[in-house]
Amino acid sequence: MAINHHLPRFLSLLGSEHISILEIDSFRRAELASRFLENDKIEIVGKTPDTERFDLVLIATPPKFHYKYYCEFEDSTDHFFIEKPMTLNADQATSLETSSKQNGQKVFVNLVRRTLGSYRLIRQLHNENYFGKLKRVIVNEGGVFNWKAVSLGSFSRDLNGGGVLMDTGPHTLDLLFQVFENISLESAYMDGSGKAIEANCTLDLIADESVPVTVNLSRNRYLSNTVVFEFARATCTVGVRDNAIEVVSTNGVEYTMYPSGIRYCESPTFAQLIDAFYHSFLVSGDNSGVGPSESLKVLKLIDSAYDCAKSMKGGF
Amino acid sequence: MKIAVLGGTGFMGYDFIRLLIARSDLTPLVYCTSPTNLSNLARHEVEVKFTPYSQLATQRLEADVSMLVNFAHPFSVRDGLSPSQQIDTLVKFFRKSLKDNLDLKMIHISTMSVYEPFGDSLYFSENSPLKPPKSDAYASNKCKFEQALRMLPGIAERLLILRPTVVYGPFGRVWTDNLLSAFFSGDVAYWDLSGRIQPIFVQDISHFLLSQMNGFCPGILNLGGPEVLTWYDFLDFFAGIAGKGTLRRLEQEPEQEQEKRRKGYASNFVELLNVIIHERSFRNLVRPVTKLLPPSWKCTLKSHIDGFDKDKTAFQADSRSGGTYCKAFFSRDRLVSMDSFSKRYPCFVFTKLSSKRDILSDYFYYRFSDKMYR
Repeated sequence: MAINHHLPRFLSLLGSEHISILEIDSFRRAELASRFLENDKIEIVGKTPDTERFDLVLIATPPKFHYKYYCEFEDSTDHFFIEKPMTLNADQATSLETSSKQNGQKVFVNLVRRTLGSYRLIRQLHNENYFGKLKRVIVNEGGVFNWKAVSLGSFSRDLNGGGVLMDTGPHTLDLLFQVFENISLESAYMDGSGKAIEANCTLDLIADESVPVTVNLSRNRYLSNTVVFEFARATCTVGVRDNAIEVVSTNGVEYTMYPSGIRYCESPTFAQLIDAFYHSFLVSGDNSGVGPSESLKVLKLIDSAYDCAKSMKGGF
Repeated sequence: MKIAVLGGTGFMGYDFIRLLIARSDLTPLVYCTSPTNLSNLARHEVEVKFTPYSQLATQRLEADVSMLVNFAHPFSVRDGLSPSQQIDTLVKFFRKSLKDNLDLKMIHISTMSVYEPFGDSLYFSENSPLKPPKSDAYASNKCKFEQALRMLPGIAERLLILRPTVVYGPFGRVWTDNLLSAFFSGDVAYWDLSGRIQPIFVQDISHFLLSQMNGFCPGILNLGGPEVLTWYDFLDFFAGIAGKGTLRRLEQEPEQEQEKRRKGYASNFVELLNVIIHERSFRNLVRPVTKLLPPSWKCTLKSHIDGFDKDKTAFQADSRSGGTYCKAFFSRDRLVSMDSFSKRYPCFVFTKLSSKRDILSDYFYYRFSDKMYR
């Protein structure tokens, strides 16, 4: 993620003049040094610089080390950019939120779906009671994992804190937090047990004290990747990475709604979402919606799900 | 008894590991060269040693391992290594492991697609010469790999090579997921599906492997299913499970159709390249790679991208179509002789395709629908 997605944008969108890449693994360090041999803006280092100040520190390690590196660089910068989930658990997230407030630091968590306008529009429709009462929400997000990972991070309870819930879960739950103020957990079901980690997870949630929400996450199934909002007078279906809202009213009329003011098309690519994130948050310096407090809400929900998860029945 | 598995994150490897996990007397140890496919395996409490390909040659196999089961094979470019380099790396790892542990036995699993040439009504035997077409790099490299393994010193009594035919079952990409997905998307076009095969269910292979853990017998064995079916029957079975599209015979000669399609794909690819080649981030990524290319390749690449005739229109795929199975591959028999296997294991029972309808239907809903599990 750091090398393939962030580094090119640091050089282009942020216009970085000097980038230090900290890589503690000597083999990977040698690979990177060879790869960026001719780029005089990039240096590869093996340990945390002692005294250097940075305009921005990006933390894109497995989640286990997010808080550790935040602490290591606490006195070296005023701006952190942290991959999701912000920390390994809610306790660390609370500490990070408190420290960053005290230090006057701005923390940006890479919740790229905050750049989608569709969920803001759903929130507005919900708050204005446009389609009547929201009766139920069903989320299905899943695909067969094919990310070109370079470490076991995504598959280690020690490094990642869990499986799909810690992996795509923060993005999915963040979509819901774009619509609702409060979300609480009713029950959780997962496959994988003990030291193993889940590829599948089903959460039963209650949003804003009244709306039942079901979240179905997977990284070994092809799910529809949609969020369905069942209102009294219409059903709205939104892709988990889309700006278009497909509406079917109770009288059978079908149409599509689009939010205004979006930077990209109705189905932005991952690269476009990241670009939009850089423009909307990092370039503008505004971390509203992607700061530590939003991540803390997500991590509290995830922690409670792991605490009470029951074993999932059926499946393969 | 500790069993080391290399390539255990793939379709057949994962199925075998699940069987091992269920056994209290067997302990699997998985050597994994890439974390990309770990989703399934990570659900189980099994020890995984992550060793990138580039470091595999120097990896030491744990001393108490009794059996090494290999599902890994050279393919494409991995960790910057060409297929030949991958073969070299894998063989070094096996040679070292066998040398360090004199009691170690090894099972190597391959696939029938590489053991060519096949022919109509020819039942390919374990002794038939392996002569895949040179144009088929995948098959050729697998043959080279097998031959390199058979050249290892003192290997004859320590190596069992299994050559399964068309393998299907849960999490099988080529002969299960792709078929289900194709028929789920719509009708599937074909030209000639009269070629015959002996499809084998993945769990049959796993059970046979399991039987070898305590009853190892070296050699080379073909592994085919219990029945001879045409590709038409095999594909039609999956159409029945997906319950949406059907097999639809093309009205046009497949060569013309393929040529049309090939041109369409080529034009789409060049069009895509023409877009991304102007992206700064792409240029930054590709620059170090292109520097390594021979000058003639660079010129060819450049001429293909810059000199592309933009008036050519791309092939418009039928949006209702789930895909095509039009290659000549499907018109030819790909049969293996099971004589050696039957003589050696007369009591081993393979399951018929039709008896797997329920399990594959359940799998289809698991894999391709939003069905909730609690």
